[in-house]
Amino acid sequence: MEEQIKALLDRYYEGNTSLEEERRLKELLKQSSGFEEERMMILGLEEMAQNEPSPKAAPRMTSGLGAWQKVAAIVVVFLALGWLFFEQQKRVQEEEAYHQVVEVLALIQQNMEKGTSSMKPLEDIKHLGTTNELFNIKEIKEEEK
Amino acid sequence: MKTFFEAYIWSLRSKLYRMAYLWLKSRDEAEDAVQEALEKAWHQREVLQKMENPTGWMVKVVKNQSLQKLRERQKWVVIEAEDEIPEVPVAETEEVSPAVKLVFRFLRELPEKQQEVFQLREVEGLTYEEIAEYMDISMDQVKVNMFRARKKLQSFLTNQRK
Repeated sequence: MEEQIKALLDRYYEGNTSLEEERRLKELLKQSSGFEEERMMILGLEEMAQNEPSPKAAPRMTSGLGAWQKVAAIVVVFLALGWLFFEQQKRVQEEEAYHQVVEVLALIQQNMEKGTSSMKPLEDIKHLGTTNELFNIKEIKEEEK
Repeated sequence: MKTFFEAYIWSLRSKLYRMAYLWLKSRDEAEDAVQEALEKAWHQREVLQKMENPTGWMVKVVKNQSLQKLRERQKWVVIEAEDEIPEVPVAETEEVSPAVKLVFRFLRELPEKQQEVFQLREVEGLTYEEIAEYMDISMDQVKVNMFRARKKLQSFLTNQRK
């Protein structure tokens, strides 16, 4: 193994090794008991390769929306606002109509009360249900005979 | 379906972070530098999509952000050239193993380009072609810088044995 490492190291220092050969050299150096400095260097380089930044997500297009999607969003917002406005108007109109009806009913009630108060004198004769009770028609008819 | 930004730019995040860490030697600042660069890229995503080498552009932006962070630390760091990243020590608050310390000790001996080429090959496992794309330099420049970095590594490790 030592011979293999030496041969690879010579080629490595001359800059003649491929990536694959360099990987092989590093593996051999890690298994070897000699070449302490080289091994230490490789361990340091490997450790540096594991140094990672804290995980973060790539920025997304906040405007992942295309131009037409923006237009569609604006239209939806306007439609929603329009609908709310229309609903509000409808409610106001209904309330107005209700108040008008209440006013009219109040007026009718007032007039009805006037009517009943002028009928008060008839209260006294309300128990006389028939004309026979008011005038003795039978007796009058017999007298005529 | 993933967008160009998610599939291409966001997927560079880990590698960019490790590059920023190489320059800043501080996890927090490296993360901030990358985040700021990604925000810039997000605003420029449509332009980036049409670029010939968006990866190279991203590396440059992260480097600029890292330089900015170093300028903010200017009390302690002397920046000699406008666009060169000065060598800074690992922050005391950073937990670093002896093996990583050894790597940093070696990297300190390399010029900036060699450091970057070395890191992209040895830490990220990129091909020479990919490294050329990342650094926006020619393949020949990658090979030359790689060769020099490895020669220095050889003598560095030999000195370590002594």
